[in-house]
Amino acid sequence: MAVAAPNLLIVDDDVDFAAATADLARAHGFTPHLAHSLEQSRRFAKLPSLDLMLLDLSLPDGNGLDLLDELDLPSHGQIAVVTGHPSVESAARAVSLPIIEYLIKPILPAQFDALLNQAKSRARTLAEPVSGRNGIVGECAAMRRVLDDIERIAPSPVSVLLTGESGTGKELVARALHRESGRSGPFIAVNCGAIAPELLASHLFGHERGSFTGAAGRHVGYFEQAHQGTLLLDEIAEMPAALQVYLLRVLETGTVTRVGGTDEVPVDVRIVAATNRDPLQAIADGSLREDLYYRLSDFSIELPPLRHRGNDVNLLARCFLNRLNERYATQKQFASGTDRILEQHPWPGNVRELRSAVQRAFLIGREQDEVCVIPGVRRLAAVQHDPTQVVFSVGMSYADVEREMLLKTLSHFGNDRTRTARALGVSVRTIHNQINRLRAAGESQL
Amino acid sequence: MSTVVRDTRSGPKDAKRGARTNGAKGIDAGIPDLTQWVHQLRNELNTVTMANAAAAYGLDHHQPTEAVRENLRRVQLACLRCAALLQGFPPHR
Repeated sequence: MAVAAPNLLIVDDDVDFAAATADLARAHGFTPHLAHSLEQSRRFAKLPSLDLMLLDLSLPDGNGLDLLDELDLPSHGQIAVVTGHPSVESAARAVSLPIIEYLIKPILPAQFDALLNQAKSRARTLAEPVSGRNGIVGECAAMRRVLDDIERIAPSPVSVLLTGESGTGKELVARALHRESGRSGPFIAVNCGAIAPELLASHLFGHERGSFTGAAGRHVGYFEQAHQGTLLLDEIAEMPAALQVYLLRVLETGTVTRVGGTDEVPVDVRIVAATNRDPLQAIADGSLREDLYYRLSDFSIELPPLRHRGNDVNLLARCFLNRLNERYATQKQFASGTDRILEQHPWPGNVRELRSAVQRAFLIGREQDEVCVIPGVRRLAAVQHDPTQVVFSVGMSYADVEREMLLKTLSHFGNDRTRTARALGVSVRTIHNQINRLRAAGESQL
Repeated sequence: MSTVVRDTRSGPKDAKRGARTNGAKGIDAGIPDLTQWVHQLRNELNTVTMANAAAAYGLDHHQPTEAVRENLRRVQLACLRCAALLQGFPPHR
């Protein structure tokens, strides 16, 4: 299927520059549109798509940045400021807007090429459905390595140790390993940290009738249930040490003995273990046996945190939005500037946090709304840790901002309300009123 | 055979004055202050680099002569305006 040429809007009153740039853009497969004033630019507000805009700041009828407040730019349009009159003021304003570059004239052809390539790549990405390999969406180098590893080692029976922060997709990788392995048995996932230690042995290896109080009948454990399949042992470092010894024996012999039993039951299970801790550190602090680690890590796969995956955050966000649109039969789109917001957030909860943020934004928005992702549910915790700084995040309510400002300033001045009022530029009465309001709302720090 | 370059919008006459009828930035001709002078010079150099790149691309990819010639004309006129600006240095109010 032919893909439409990406659109470039050049907003610059220098006719020769704009025309030459349009020639170059055309040569790179773009469809250029020229505007030499704010007035002319407004005509392009209804372009079906805008992949890149070069925006001059000094236009005959105003400041180019004003355009961004007026135009309903298509959601995925990238904007680069190209100015011959750089200033701290305009740069600061540009930072608060969805602008990817702030270039000072004369721009170099290489810079322009890079902008075109970036916009073209993004346009192509947006035109393609997000599918992913083995159900895993990711195009960064680290994820491509992970996907290659999965395809390479899945057919072999080796044990695999998955490491990576919480929310990076370890279970997804384990499932992909099972799917690609061709093994006929089921995939069973066990969270070793979620089962009471005294019950874990019974859950994993099964038990015989009467082996302990309440064992009314024989129970077949996860190992036997996963026969000829794959068993994911998540949070392996949370498994009690004594059980780790037994697990090692099972792995070495390929047989399990149910709790309270004597028969050795042969099992053919492919083991995938996972941990969000550094395994070597876990060995050092005694929570993971070294011999088990070596047995489990025939092959290790480390999953990168989302903050190190570059544009994957946008691909994943679009994938989640597409799924939500399908489920709810809607056609919502991300609001302009979402890419930038997503790329700037550190995503401490990784893909799980991103999925929640997209879902939250999707559900909050009305039918025809654009989806405005506001990441950072943890922002208040971060703010409260530093007594000398008040940090505002996009999406914080005025009430939260006011509360943070008041608490930090009061604390700074040793709860002196007069000095706090002076520093904040309000009356002492206002401070009193705010404190009373917060107390009434159950504020514990006052 | 020599090529005659003609400009229907801005030309050497403007360039000699250091003024731009093409892409005027609201700056008075002839007597810019230093900020305006630098601004104008940046604009002209910008046109030179991009028009030059477009012309070079056209030559490399055997584009129609007219397209290449048009970009070379842009380079030439911008260079003339640069020269005029340089003659007016240092700028003054």
